[in-house]
Amino acid sequence: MTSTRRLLLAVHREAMASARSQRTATSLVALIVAGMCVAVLLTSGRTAAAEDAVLSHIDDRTTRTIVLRATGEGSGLDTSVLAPLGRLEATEAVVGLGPSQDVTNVAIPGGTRVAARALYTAAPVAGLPVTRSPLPGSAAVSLAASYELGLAGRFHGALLEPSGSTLAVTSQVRTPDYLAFLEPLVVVPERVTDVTPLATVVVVTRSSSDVETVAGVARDLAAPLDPEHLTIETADELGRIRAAISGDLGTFGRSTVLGILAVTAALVAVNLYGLVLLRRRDFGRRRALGATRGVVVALLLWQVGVVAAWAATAGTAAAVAVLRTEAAAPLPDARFVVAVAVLAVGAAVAAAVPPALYAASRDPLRELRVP
Amino acid sequence: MTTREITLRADDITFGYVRDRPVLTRWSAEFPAGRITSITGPSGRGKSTLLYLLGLMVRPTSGRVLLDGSPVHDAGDRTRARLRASVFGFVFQDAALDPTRTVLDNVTESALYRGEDPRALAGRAHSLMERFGVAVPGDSRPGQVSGGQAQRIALCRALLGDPPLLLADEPTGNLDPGSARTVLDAFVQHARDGGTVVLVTHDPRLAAECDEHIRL
Repeated sequence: MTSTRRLLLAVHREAMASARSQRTATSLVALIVAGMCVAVLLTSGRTAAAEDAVLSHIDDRTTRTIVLRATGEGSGLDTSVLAPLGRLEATEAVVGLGPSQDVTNVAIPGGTRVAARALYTAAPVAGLPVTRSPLPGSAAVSLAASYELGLAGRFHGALLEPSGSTLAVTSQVRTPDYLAFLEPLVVVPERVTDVTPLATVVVVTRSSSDVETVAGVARDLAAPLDPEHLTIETADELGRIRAAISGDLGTFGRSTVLGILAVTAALVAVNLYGLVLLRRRDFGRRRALGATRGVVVALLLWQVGVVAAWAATAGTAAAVAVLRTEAAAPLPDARFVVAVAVLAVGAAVAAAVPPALYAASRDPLRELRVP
Repeated sequence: MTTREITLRADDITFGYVRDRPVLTRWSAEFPAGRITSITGPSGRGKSTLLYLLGLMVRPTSGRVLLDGSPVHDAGDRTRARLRASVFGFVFQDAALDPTRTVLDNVTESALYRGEDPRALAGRAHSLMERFGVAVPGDSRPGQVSGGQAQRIALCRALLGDPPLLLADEPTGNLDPGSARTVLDAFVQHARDGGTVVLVTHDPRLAAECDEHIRL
């Protein structure tokens, strides 16, 4: 072992021996730091976890969805927009749907009518049938559509179109969240061969922040002759709610953490000032025996740092255990938990700096001289 | 054991706790290696203050403190602290032990300030404690020993690093005659080994045993 490492180990041992010998001050620092971790995790931690859960729920595609609808002639909405939109890096999925026509179950004359739509995709989309080489006259139905049509949850049968021709049900559609508004869903997969008018195009972006840009691109690609016949719907309101939740809860959480940190630092500083005042003769003796100011400061800061680290670990473990016992309480992100512990230790060490400097400035003559 | 020989000199030093009321005025003396010097005088004449000045714990208002001819009184705080740790051994008037630590911790404390591992000096600490009759159990605290034992523990602490300069403030004030003899013998031995010893004392018997005498 090198002499430097031996010396550092000696400083560590001395700081720990001092911590053990100053039980009251050590216990108070540990309680304050552990209490800070528990308080932050049970307040701001809960808030942060709830915020994450709410935002994650909102972000589950609904705020990232753009719905373009052709409401009349000259909308410009046709299959030519699908491929360019699908090539955008900001795009996660693009689905084109033709005009709807009602179909019924061949086996149930006069049965419930369900809207069927031609389905066009630029690339495979999870849950939807592949449109690269569809079987002519085949259809896919969702579970809801299967029951509506009297197929009793099965995914085979025959559907009657208004023209009198039939469609064979050959597969199931697992309706993605962003197409839920079309349920009960019956689609007829079509291959994109030439430019075909569309009634609806649904675009899902990778991030809610891309919605505005992609919506603009979609409008430019459609280049409607009559802009009034092309409507573009985005989840603007949800986006605003998302921003509000993120902003309000984030601000509340940060304020709470900063407040608790400040109180923790103040309590640690007061506690250590008390310790230094009570033991100023001890620090005067150390200085008289040859301790530099740096050694006195290092001993006190290391002592507080190690005690705070143990206390932060214990406090964090206790808080997480409490949160785990509450089934309804979401757990905060691991990074948040670690950050709280690191902040607690940092605050305690920072708060210890002024008392440590005060201790290091004790005058041996004043402290040791017997009048 | 031979101790490194260093001559300590106070040159024309003046010091006062209150401006215009100096405790020492233009005071000079030399403390040669291998000699024991006693400083005596009535209370309030600055005997202990002189010891703290010589021990680099406080700077004189004017004048110089020299080690082997080199001025050290105006050195930086870090240098003076390092000199206190490595060149000086101190025995304070009331032992000044840490009551929350073990006796062994107290004896080995100053090793840390010299950049040494206190644990590595535990053996020497034990032999010094045996020599001065304070070989108490390892986990004993200063509160569990008598005043005389505390003073001898403080002497063990002062001698642990075999310092060239030993400064002691009333080292036998709390000791019975037998213990005082043991302590005095230790000072004599330290001086014979080449060390410089400066004692502040009211005890005429102790002063009489010293090689040099200064009366304030």
